[in-house]
Amino acid sequence: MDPTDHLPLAPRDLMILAVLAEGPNHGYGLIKAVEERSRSGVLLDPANLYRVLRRMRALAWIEDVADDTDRRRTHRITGDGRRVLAAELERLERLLADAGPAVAGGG
Amino acid sequence: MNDRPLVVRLYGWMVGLLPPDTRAYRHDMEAAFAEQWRSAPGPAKRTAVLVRSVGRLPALLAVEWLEYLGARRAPGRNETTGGGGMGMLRDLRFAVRSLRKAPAFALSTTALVAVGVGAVTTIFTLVDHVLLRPLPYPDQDRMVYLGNPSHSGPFFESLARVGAGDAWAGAWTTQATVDIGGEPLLLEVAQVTDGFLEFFGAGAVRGRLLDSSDFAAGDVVVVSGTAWRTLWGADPDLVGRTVRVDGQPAVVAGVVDPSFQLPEAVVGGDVHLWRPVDWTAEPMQHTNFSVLNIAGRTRPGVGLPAVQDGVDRLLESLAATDRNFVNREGEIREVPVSTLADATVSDVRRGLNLLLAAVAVLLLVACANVAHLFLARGLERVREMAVRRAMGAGGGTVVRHLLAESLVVGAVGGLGGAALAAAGLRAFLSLNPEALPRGAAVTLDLRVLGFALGISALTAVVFGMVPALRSVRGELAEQLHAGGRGSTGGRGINGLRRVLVSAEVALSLVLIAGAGLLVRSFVSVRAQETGFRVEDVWTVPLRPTDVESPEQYVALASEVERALRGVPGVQDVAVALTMPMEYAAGGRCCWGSRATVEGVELADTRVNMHPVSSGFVPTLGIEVLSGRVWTPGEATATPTPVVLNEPLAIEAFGSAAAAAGRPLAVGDMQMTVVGVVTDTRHYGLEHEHGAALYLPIEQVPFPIPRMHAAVHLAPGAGRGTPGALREAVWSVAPGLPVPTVRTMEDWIARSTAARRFQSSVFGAFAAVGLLLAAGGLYGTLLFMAGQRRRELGIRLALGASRQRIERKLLMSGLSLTGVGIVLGLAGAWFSGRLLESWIWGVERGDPATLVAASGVLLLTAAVASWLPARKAGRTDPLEALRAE
Repeated sequence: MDPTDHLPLAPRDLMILAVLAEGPNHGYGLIKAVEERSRSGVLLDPANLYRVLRRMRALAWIEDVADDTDRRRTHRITGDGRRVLAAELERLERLLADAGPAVAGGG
Repeated sequence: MNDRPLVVRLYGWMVGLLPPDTRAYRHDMEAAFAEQWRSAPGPAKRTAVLVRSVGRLPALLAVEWLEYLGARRAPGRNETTGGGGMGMLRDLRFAVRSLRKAPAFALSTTALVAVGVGAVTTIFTLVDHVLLRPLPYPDQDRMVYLGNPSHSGPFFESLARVGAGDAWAGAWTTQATVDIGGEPLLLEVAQVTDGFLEFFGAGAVRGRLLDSSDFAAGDVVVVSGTAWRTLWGADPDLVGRTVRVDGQPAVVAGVVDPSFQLPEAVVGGDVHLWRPVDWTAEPMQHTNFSVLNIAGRTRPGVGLPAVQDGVDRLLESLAATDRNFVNREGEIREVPVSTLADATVSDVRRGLNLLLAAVAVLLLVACANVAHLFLARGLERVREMAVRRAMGAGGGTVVRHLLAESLVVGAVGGLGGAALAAAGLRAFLSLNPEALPRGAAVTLDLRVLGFALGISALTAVVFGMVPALRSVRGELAEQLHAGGRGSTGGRGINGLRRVLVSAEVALSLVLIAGAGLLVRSFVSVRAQETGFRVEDVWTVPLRPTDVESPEQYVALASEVERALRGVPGVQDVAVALTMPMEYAAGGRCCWGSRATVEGVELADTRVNMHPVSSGFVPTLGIEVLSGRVWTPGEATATPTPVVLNEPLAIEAFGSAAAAAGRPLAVGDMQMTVVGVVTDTRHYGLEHEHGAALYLPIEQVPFPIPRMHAAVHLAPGAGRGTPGALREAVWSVAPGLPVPTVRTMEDWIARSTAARRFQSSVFGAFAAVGLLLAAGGLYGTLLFMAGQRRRELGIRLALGASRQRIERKLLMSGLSLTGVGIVLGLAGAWFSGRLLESWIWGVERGDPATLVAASGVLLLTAAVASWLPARKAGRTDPLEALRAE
């Protein structure tokens, strides 16, 4: 898989991968964690969240964690997922670095 | 159902509408929503969560289904790309985008659809559960009910001879004082025939139901599921314990499944204990006691007429030997047979259908307004559409875009309507003062949600498509031309708008007039003179279920009277069998018989006999017209001293003055008239009392498990009264249940609660209808004025006065209203016939009500027309001309 095929990521996808990179989580935990980073402007609702999760799972960016104590699914980021996340962050950093001086110079 | 909040359940249902390939995630979605909902602090945050989660659903629903169906049609496609390549999906996205650009339009249309759908769904849910669903009993389609309304034990036993019947079940529901340890409780006890609970398919959650051997011993009870929960806290070890029913010990044999729905036509809406019928008791052995309510089941393949025929023939043969089956005119007693389902809901069928009709009218008004808004939008976009068609978009594409918009509006409005219905249903059930049969089982469910979505989709599509088709049909060039000039364009559409506005006015007049009739009925009922004192009177209903002789009853009455007299602030005390207003809501009472004056029976007059203490007349402040009330010393005299009410005095002796001192016989009691009092409204403000007399309670010839005391308090002594009165009763009769101490004002308010409810529901509908009609009128005129801006500008420039322009627009608004009012008056006259059974003291075609309703509408219409007219009058001619 070439991670750059999927770039740029939608802000929502980026936030979800970023939260999962910190550790496995379930749906409500994701909504909560994303909401706490509310400066991103991303707010999730359950139905759309699971649409995204379903897509990421089909792309093998995330996988389910077996957990017998909880009926809810817990999601974990995979190696592919990390590679896509890293590629996107790198792209964004390059973008910022390219744009930064111009902005600073204008000030 | 379960402990999840309604909102969460609703969200779960909505998520359940997603295509099957999301099934694995639905539980998680609902769980995530539930946690969000639970942890959201405060209503503002919750609203935000709700708006976000539910608001995004319709678009997601559409997208997921399109992908799902698309993937099925083209199995090779990768379903996870989230494409958007399909035409319909693109249309939907386009629709959402273009609606976002017109937030006022989007908000008002979805709100209108939501209000209409919410109202209809609320009432439809009630109708569905109460009227349409089959009763939850095995073979319910073969179940019948024997009317008129109750029957004797021997009659029940002889029903075995009716060949069309397969099985019969009878019940006698009474109140009893039950001791379960602690305060004495007044409970509803149903005495039932063998196999009654099994007949209705009830099961036991603890222990067992009644069996045949219990009928000989009679010392067992089965506890109802609700009583088990509320009285015993669902105690798992209840079976085998002993309770005392009217002093008699009985062992709890089992508990009925709490999900069992009572056959309300047979046992009423509330049963705490089930007992075997005591066939040895006197009321069960004689044909002159009618105590059993009876349901039956027909043999398979046998219809209602065959059962009626069988019952008629049975009555014929019984009447041959027993004159209790023959009435005074020598006719055989009638027992109408109906289906059990009809018997259960017959009282409310009319009312519910009426409400459904009223909300349907409301939905129509809302639809007309939605259509309006779509028309206005369609007209505004004629140019855009025409340009897009000129650029090569086919007519089909344009229609598809508009269709997609109306679908989005319909879906969002429909979901909003479902949420409104959930809230409305709860409010309705908590407000509804009349016990609605089968009311306990009413919940919002998928079936109703489907109904709501169906209605809203239909609304949006039908009314959204009209302008879409119109905007496509015309000639391209003509539309470009007309749109450009903005003068004469869309004459056909304006015609349609006028029809819609008139229709809205007509429909809201129907609602306003209906509400007016109900409010006037309520007012005239409340204005009815009672004939007795209402202020500062408190009543204490008692249920002495274990008195066994007239002597015990009389002794209890005098002790209660003495005890109540000792309560501070009490001026007068009355003890009677019944008090005025006690039976205003219906129910069975009273004691009555035919009167004989000097050997001549008053043929058409059945005299109501009220056993009362000598304090009754002064306590209730009933006016004495002639003579006086008996003194306590005369109470036990023979012949019995009695006080007549005025109608009886006139009926029997010609006038109140002529009655005093005259002898009278009622049934086999010899009496002397000592006084005459004014007539009272004993059975409710709406009902004539009829001929009645008051006799000393000391002369009651039978024990009876009812008694009702009343006190007249000194003004301002009301505080703390209920407790003091109850304590006073318990000081002389410790085991006596005192259900509810109430003021007489409260009794009267209760007796009119149903009317207040009906008028407020209709009033609310009418207010919404009026608002919608006014909004429609305002929008139309504003739009018409905008369209004719250029023309108005020219006129003003040529010297027409502003007043003239204003008047012209105002008049066109009022003439639309006028047409609507004429149509509405006809509609109101017809709908008055439907309301007939609910109105009182006012004619259904009451001119004052119709004039007032029309006046309210006209006034509202005048304001709604004047605002746009004024705006048109202020048009700046230069501006108007330059704008082109």
